[in-house]
Amino acid sequence: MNTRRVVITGLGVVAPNASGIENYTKALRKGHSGIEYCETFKEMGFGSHVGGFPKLDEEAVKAFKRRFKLKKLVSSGILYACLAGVDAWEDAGLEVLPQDALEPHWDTGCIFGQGITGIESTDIGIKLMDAGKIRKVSGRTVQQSMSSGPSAYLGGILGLGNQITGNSSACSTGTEALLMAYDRIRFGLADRMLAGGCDSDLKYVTGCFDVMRVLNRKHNDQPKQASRPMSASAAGFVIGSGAGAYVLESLESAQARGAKIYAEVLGGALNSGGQRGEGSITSPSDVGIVRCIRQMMEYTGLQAADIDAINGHLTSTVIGDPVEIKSWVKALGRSGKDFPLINATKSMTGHALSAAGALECVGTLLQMHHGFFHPTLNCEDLHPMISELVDRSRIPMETLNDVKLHTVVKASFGFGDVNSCVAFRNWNA
Amino acid sequence: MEKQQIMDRLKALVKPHLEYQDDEVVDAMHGGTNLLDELGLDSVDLVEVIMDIEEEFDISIADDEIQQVRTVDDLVGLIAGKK
Repeated sequence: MNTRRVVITGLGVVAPNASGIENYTKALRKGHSGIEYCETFKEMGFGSHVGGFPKLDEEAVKAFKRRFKLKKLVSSGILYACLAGVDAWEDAGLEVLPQDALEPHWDTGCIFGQGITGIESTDIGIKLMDAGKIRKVSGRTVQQSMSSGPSAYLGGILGLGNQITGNSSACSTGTEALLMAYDRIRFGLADRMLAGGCDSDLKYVTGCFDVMRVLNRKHNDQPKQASRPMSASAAGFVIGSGAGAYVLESLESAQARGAKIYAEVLGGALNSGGQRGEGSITSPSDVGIVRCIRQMMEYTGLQAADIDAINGHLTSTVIGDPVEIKSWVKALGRSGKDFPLINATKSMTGHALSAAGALECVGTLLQMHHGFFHPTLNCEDLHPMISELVDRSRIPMETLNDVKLHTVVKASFGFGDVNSCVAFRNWNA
Repeated sequence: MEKQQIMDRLKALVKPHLEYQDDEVVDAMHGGTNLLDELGLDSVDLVEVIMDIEEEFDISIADDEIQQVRTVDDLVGLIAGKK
């Protein structure tokens, strides 16, 4: 079967350390962390008092809501998705279809994933109903509570008429959305797709992670040092939120309209460890991860030696990060000084759950486009298992500028023992 | 109840649902103002407005009555007919 080539023509982001692709590029390049102390977490009795949440300009948000008539929008995740999605759309040089247009863009769809963006709206609805105030429940509760909320909102804002849906695969969501959108274009079912992932500011969900003892509670006084991927003193991850968005397009469509192209999506793989072997619902199986990486290589035709760099999942958990590095080494057959460059965006953003893969895919594409490799913060004391496998020089703690990244691989692993791995080829290097 | 009294209470009640309209639009509201086209209310807003009206005026409005509502006068007439 003939399949089409797929490229990325637009990016948008709302991240804990910056919003907008220009600001995010600067923040990544500077190694700027968006993680801060959260008084609310302390008040609620959590062990972890740190988090990474986007800081938005209130006037800009009001203007955005007014522009698209986003009434009674209480879901922060949906707001982030809309902001990032519209940014990506306009970054791609596309115009927003007027509301009075008679037909939508039939050949453009949206796969925008989320994890728990419905919680704010549901919370309000439940509290009102339990208080006997059903009549005060907003008629906009359902569309913000439903899993397809982000994609439905974006589909309406932009007038998209192809598949509109929201995937959900926990921390793998954003990367998975990209690959699902890629497939749809590749097989000729759409010419263009807006894809991405988002998640809400989630104090109640933070509490749920907190009781699992997976969040860092040792750096409450030093928030910027709390997210420590690959570090020997990693003590759990830092909760975050936000959204990342990408416009994928067939190469023909992009070239026909003279679009700027960031990179080509070479392909990827999606799988699960099936929660068998070492895998569980909360912890990935290294066998599954290795298989996913190898499948990505098989599907894309990439050889291990082709890979210049990796943006890892790398969450700052004690066990997870060494297992991930071990899996990369095994899958690629590369180690020591031969290992590709690798970095962990979560060291600056925390773990934005269903937005994580999206924030990191956007970050990866921006690094490729601008020719730099961002540092991994807080990994001065590399985990000994990682030090044995990978040379220090491959995990830079300072930004590498003027690097040519031709082929970069991004992986995300999520609760449910689910894995995704995508390969990008720089269009301009 | 006087129609002007109803109109004044209605304006105050509708205003919170008009997130993206200027105050001048509300102040200029008159009997012939179209709720959807001129005030920018959609079907969800209209249901919420109706529920607030029911509470404010202690009346009950049936679903098929809501479907007939297009203008401010329609709302005023509905309320007046039940008071």
